[in-house]
Amino acid sequence: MKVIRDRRDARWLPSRFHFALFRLFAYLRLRATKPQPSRGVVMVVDQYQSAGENYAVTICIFVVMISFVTALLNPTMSLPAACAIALPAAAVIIQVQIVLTGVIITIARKVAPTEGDNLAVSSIALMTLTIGAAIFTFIRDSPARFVAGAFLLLVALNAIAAVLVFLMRGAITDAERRFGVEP
Amino acid sequence: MSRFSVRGVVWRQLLRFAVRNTPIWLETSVIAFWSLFFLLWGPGRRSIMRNLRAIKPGSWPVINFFRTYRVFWNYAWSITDTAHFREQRIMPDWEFAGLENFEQLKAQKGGAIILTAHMGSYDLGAHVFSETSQRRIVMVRAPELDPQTGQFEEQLQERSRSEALRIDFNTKAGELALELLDAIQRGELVAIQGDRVTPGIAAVPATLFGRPAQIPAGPFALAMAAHAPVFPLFIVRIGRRRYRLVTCEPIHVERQSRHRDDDLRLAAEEWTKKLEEVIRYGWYQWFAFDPYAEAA
Repeated sequence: MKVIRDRRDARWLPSRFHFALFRLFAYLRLRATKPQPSRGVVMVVDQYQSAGENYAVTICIFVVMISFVTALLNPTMSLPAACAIALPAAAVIIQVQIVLTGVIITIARKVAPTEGDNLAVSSIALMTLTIGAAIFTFIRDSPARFVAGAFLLLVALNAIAAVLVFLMRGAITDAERRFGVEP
Repeated sequence: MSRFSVRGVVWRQLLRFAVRNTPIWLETSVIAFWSLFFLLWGPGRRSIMRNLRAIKPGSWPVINFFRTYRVFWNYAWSITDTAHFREQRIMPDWEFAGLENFEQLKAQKGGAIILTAHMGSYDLGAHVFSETSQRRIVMVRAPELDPQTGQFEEQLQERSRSEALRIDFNTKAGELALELLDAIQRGELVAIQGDRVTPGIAAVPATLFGRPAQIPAGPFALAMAAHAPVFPLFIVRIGRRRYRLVTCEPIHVERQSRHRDDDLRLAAEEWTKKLEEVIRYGWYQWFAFDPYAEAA
């Protein structure tokens, strides 16, 4: 595992972020930040290291799930009642999704063994399910469609950011190399 | 003990499954959900609320109820970070407070005792230390109450075992004391948790947050016998995947009076002062799921 020592500004290394939108933002912050020497600080270079990114994404997914359940229930009950039920239901749905996806992937890998853990496959599966839920909500006639629309807009922005990050990969690699991070 | 009891093996297996299957960007919602477990575990919840009443005198029970959720939330993050390290070798970010004391500990000629508390991630801290230092470290742990859980944990530890880190269980105090004394005399570091007394372990009476408490006597007796310093060291979780390693000035346990117990008590008092300082600041991650004092 790569670590950067004694540099607090290493928190803005794009490699510490996962989603392209956040990577791009981190790169821009890194360029604008002066070196911040800080003795005794050890920063790990891992794509899931950013607290801000992970909290933001979790909240987005949770809100999409709430809007999905609200859109499902709204035709049969009032919007406030649907929202009240959607809050705990969304939390439970997320747990169920994770367990089911994990079990299915584990069984599939027993049939066709591969190296490593299930994280990459479960990430793709769960993000696909979330985007599917957002599309479903978006096409329903419910106020929740605006929430789903905002999420889909973020997904589209992330795709654009991915293209930009790809085009700027040389500059990003150079910026990270200054911290001793080799691609 | 049932597989589904609080200390049963099922929860450890579930944690391992979660760490291997939950996308990292969904982890926060999973942890927030499972931290609600505090509503179901009455004895643990009430113990923490009792401890909080002592740490924060005059605090309101309703506020302490929500503070208890925060303790469980931090506990969930700490065990998740440890599981990530074991399964994927992912480390959190670190920063040091009392770096000069930490450097002194690393440069210490001969063995030393690291005295810590049930805060942050004890396992992760020991692993980080063993990977960043040339010193061999022996980590003393309380044994698991459930045999199946113990077996499961041993298997996991076997997988992440390194030459620089050895884990011992304080099941038989006498035998272990000799082994630890031997380790210190070989120049190794011994890490012990000094905020909780397990049954069958010798204790020193002390005062913690103005209430009588029992502190393990072993670390101080060991320091006295081995002429080794005791370094209070705390692993404090300061955010998602961020920890602070707080190293305090060493405590020297020396025979000064005719009564050995008086000397041990002096050292224990010095330790509890430091412990109080850290817990007062980091009450939300003191994982004492039993009341530390009967009167608390």
